[in-house]
Amino acid sequence: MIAERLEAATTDSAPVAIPTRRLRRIAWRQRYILVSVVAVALFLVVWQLVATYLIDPFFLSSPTTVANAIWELLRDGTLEGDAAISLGRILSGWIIGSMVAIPIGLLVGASPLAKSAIDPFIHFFRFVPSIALITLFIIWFGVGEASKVGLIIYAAGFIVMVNTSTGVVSIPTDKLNAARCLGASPAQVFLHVIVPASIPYIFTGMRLAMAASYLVIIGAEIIAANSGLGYLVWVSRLYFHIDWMFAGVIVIGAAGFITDRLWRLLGRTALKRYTRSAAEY
Amino acid sequence: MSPRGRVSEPGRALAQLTMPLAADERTGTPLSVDKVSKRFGTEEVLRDISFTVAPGEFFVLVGPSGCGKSTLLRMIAGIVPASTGSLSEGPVLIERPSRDRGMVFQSIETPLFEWLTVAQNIGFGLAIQRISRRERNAKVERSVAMVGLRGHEAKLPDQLSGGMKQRVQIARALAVEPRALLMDEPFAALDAQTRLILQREIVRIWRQIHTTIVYVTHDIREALTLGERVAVMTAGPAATIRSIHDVDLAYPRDELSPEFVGLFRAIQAEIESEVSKAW
Repeated sequence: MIAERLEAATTDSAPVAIPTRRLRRIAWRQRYILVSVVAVALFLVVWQLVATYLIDPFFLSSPTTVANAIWELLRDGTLEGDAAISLGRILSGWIIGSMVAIPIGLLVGASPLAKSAIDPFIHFFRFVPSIALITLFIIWFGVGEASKVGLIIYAAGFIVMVNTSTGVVSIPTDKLNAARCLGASPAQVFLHVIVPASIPYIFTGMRLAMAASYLVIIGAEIIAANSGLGYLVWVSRLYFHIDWMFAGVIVIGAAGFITDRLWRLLGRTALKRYTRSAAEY
Repeated sequence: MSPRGRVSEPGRALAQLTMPLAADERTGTPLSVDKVSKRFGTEEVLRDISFTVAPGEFFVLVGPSGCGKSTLLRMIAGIVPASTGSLSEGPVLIERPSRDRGMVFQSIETPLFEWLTVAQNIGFGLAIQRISRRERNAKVERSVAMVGLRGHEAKLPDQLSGGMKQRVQIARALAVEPRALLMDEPFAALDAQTRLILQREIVRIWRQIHTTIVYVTHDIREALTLGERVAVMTAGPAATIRSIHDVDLAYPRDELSPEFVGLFRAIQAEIESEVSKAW
């Protein structure tokens, strides 16, 4: 039979073909990483030259000054402390926000009734910038953690919600009908088809929401906080410590970069079956 | 619950591959379509369609593209409701999809669950019935063997060719032992070589399990290669059944036999006249 013959053909050629192809792919990946490293190095060199020779260091710190500032802030413990506090707020708000948003998004995508009832609110509030609500949240929840985490829940939630609903409505009807023709009840279709088939969109939604969480937390910490990276940047500004501001900004960017890479790594490994190509970029 | 279609004891069906099936060997279910019409909004797609498919029969619907034959099949599946008239499986009215009527879709990419392995896809219908793992595994293994997917059980759908994916669809539909198998141009998106192989396979499988098959295609040669009866549909809108041909030829069908060629020409003439009328 043809299936067996095909199978035989693949197993025959496997020991030769796959390793070389994999090697070649690894070589290419290394080359691409090298390109990224060179690009970043080049940027740092240009920045150093510009900061040294062209622009007053009062406005623009050079990379070496920033590195010194980072080292200085790390040594007295402020930077790790502030980064840990900001990251804690971001992650808890992002996770709680997603936990709330995913079920609502699934429901809105799957049920026309839920959609009609909830949709107006989603599409109203997702255009109200969380920055505009900072003061309100502080009045409601106080200056403590609740208002900051709440703000991130708000900012992350709508992004995850809209992406989740989009994921549900873009499931091909064939897939749903296939499950129904195999005897699946509406609840089983929801649990065993709609939920797993929406994961690529949920994954991407949470990734975008992560970035939004960083934006919001810095805003919140600038307005009402005595700790966190936003607070660090803001206070440095008050003392004209431009190098500290840069240190804060760079740590924010680096933390965002690392959390995004970790999320993508999760999508490429443990969730690979579900995310498919969503974690490729 | 009435008895389901059963896989025959080894040997029996295989020994009689070229013999016509006796009436008592057919364990599928009769399907009847009674004065069925379908409107989408104000547009009437299908008008007053009636026919009956005998238990275990291989029934093919052929017609010009866009005539509504897929819609008709989806109504038999219970996916799409009829606007007027009724459809029934044996004595039971068809109102919603049921695992009694397995469906194989034309699309290669969308109907499979791409996060599940081949074996998990095939076992989906069994898993949601909470059948014991041992029984489920046995049934999955039997379906895998029947469609020739041995050795591919642990693969994900993305790792399979188009023909293999359609084999998974067929195995998945058969695993729950449906009484009728509904196939919507399942091989239309495949290359000619694979299509030929799978056409032969589906006849073999049908003769092995004796289930009722309703098969939709626009390809007259495919219709005559597979079907015991071939129904020709008129061009839409308001399409209906124009004629039903008995294909009283032994399997495997010889495409060059005078009877085959004669039927081919007759059906082709009918479809051509339908298409020209539509223009």
